[in-house]
Amino acid sequence: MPHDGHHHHEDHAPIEDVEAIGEYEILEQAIRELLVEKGVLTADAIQTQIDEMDSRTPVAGSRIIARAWTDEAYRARLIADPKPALAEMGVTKLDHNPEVKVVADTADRHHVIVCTLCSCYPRVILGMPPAWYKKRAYRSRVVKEPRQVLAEFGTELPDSTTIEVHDSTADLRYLVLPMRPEGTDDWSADQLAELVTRDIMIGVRLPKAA
Amino acid sequence: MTATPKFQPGDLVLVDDRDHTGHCRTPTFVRGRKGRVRQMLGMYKNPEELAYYKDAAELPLYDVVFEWREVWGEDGPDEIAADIYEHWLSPA
Repeated sequence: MPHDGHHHHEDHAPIEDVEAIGEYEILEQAIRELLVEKGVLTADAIQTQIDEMDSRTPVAGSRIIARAWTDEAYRARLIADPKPALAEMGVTKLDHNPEVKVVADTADRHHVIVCTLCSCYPRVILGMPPAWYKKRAYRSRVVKEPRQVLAEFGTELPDSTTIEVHDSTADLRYLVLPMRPEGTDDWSADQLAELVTRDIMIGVRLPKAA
Repeated sequence: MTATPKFQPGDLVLVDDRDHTGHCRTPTFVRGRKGRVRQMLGMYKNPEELAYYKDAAELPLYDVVFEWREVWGEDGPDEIAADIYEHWLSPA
């Protein structure tokens, strides 16, 4: 550590866990240690799976949406049979994850996804869900007052557009394929992918050519 | 086990209003409500049994669309869709 003549002892609070360990953390640790001890899993296999989940980010989804906007045949394949279409774009190892269904917005129908019972989410494409997606406020309100919730995300839709709130509580996970924004006719798929954020693929925001 | 799906796209169905203890994937806010089958999504093991390591039967899973008034009792431009296993549905 370089010495510059100043003292930095009080710069920040000591880094330590301040919250007591919760009941579920203890339960998870106990089960994990038992599984390792009994040889059902190895610590390495668990960490590899965590790394695998952490490596998934919404970028994969953005590229898939951008391709669907620029390649009609791909769009049709993606909607009709998502698994091979996702694999084409590098989203593989789908067998151990719930199936994904792609729902396409139209001029008069917009989709927004929620899991009212827990936090089902297309993790295999988008990675870990945002904190708000798991909160009771979003899960209870978006099925009751979707227009208000969307407005809080900065998304206003005319009454002529039906908002379809899809509660994904069963075996399928949902990805929203929004409408391609106006003014992007000459954009490449790479440029379009930049517009497609995580929230857009959940359906709480709309893509805009800023 | 391969069962023949009881419902076809366009069929009006009623979600049973029964109580359920334990793991269950039918949201309470659509129980006792009528919706329209849009699509049969495939055959899936009954999560109510699967969650308890039982030899779960495969059931048809349907994409069911509900009108706003039917769910919330007031008119609205929007709709709710939910995925419901066949053993929660009857013809309406």
